[in-house]
Amino acid sequence: MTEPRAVLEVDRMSHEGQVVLALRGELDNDTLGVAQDQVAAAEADAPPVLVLDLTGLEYVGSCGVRLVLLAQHGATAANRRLAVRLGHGQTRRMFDILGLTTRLEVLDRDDPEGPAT
Amino acid sequence: MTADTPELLTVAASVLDATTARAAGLQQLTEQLSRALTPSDIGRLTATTAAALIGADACAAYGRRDGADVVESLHTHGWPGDVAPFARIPLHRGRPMSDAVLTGEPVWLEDAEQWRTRYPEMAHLGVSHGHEACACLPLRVEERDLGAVVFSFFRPRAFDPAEREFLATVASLCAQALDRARLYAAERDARATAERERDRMAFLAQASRLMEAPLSVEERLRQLADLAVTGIADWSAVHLVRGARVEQVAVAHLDPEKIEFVDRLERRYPRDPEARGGAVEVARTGIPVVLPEVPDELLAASAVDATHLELIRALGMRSAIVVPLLVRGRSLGALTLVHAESGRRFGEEDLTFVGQLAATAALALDNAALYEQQRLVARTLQTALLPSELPDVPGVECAGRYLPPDPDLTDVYVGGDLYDVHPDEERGRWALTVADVCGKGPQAAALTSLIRHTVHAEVRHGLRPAEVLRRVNAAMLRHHGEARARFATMAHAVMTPDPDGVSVTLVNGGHPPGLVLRPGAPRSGRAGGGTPPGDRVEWIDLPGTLVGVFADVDLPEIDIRLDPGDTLVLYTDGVTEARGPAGFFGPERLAAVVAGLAGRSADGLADGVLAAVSDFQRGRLRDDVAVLVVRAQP
Repeated sequence: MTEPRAVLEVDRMSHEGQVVLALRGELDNDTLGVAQDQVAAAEADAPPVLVLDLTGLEYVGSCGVRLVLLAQHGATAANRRLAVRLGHGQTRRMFDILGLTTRLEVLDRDDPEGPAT
Repeated sequence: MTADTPELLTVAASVLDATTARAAGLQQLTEQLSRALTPSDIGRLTATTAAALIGADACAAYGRRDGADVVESLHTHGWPGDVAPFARIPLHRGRPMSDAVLTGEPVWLEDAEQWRTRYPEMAHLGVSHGHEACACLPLRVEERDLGAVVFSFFRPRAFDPAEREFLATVASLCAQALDRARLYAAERDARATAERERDRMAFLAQASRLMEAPLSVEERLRQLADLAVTGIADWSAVHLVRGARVEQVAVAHLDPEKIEFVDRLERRYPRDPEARGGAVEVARTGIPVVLPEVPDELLAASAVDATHLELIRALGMRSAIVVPLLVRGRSLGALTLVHAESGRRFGEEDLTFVGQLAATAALALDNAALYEQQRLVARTLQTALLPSELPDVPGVECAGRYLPPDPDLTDVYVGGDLYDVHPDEERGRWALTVADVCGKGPQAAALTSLIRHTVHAEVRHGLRPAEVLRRVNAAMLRHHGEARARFATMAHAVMTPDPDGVSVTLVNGGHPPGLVLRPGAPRSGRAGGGTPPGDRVEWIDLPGTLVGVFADVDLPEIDIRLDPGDTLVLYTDGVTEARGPAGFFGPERLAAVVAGLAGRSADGLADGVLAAVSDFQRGRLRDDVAVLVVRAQP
């Protein structure tokens, strides 16, 4: 018997020069390819601001963190902005532990905690 | 009306009767032929019903396959003596039936004289046993030449135009029936071929799936042999080349008693590994062998004595095909298929299919060997990344453990997690390190190695833990230049044992929090927080930046005191993020497991944590796991 494979869905929204990629599900080695493709496609459009919305993730592994760091690196090199939404759950805790919350543009850093976030 | 009128009327009546009878006969023949499905049925009807209809004393129907230079008997009737020599007759101009077939025109021989005049060489046969007249009619439909029918008569017979027309009609009916039967047979053969091809494709697909199954190579080959005897052979066997030897790794038959029989046979007469012929030779040479018939001489040649021969004969091998397991120009072994009791036969035409089957197995074997090679390289590399043994630290038990992920769940794995205990002999202290490099593969392994060796070098300089991590961070940044996304998380500490315990100064570069197990500690602290096992387990919540990405890192240090019996547990996220049927392993479960291991030695605790994580994933680890346990001796 094998464990069910992780599932990741990525929704893309564009609004006033901002591209938002909303990730839902699990971001691990199994699903990294899906996320990478979507990020690469969004980067190819060179939006002034790329937002990775990770609030819908139930799990993010270290490869997911790397994805964010690479996106930030790419944005900086191209003189664009990368921002993230982390929510206040597991994902936020992970970025906190890694000492990354203060080093990224976290859009919902100061939002009140609650089910909606 | 003349005086002859009644006679003429009688003649006319008899002609009319004959005509009516022939018309009725033709109708009957047509009906019967329309029901006949096979060439031999049609031949039989022609040679009996049609012959009776025209009053022939003997008849033979012959069929000719597409353009063949012989005709084959479909049915003979009324010929005396042995007709077997006439079962196949070569076509040869200058013989009546051959002429009819080859020219498409009937040959009429009305008496023995005509035989002798026109076919002097054949006359003795044609008029033997009192035969006189003979009509040879080609069986043709459009341009399709299907054979001939021969009617023979004991009396001379003038084939008048009406009779010739009638016989031509009979032949035409037979030819059409034969044509239909041929088309029917061709269609049936085509359908059977298509069905066989479909079955074979399905079989190959099944074999391919089997070759990808998460089983050992030998088990896969055994199952392939088992699969082969469910439809394509009565017996099957697989041999593998192993160094200088060729070994049989699988033998299959649907009847277990027969396999037992072979086992007994091979125990009684062990195979000579140097023996030529058979699967061993095919495995060595890479040249396939097809035996449509297994000749008895072959069995005799391979038998040691008369009893052996008798036992080999008892296997009932009728036909065999042995193909090499070829990949990239090398033969890895051989696949043997044998038909026995089914009575079926292998032919050259089966080579393609059986060759494909063997290729599937060979590819799987080759992949497995390459994979094993890669794993060996990975294991060797991984070993180099971890300490072969931990140093003895006075008054302290140290235990480190590493588990790679399940090879079935990941690609070839190397790199990633690291644990180490390294002495700073000059200052009488020891450095502890647990690190997890993001990603896997050679690049991750290179970083793991960089971390390990940087720590070793910097520890000797007597630097504080935070400074060691800064140096590691700088080294990683130098190492991967602009591509700053391959990071590592690290817990690093320096520990100084003293007579009353151990002092630890810890820094945490984005690593999962360590924990301290304090057996017998008073129930306080986080007990109210609803974490039952937390009574005796303290988390070390220490912020810090991951290493290898940012030039400036925040790395505060914390001092921890381990009293005798207290244990510090550091680990990588393969522990807490282990995923099983019950979800994630998680920090709470880890705390509970560690609490449950209170009183154990460092080794016992490390093993206990590893076992819990492995069991949680039912022994199939998705990620690697490193654990470092340090216990102040009680």
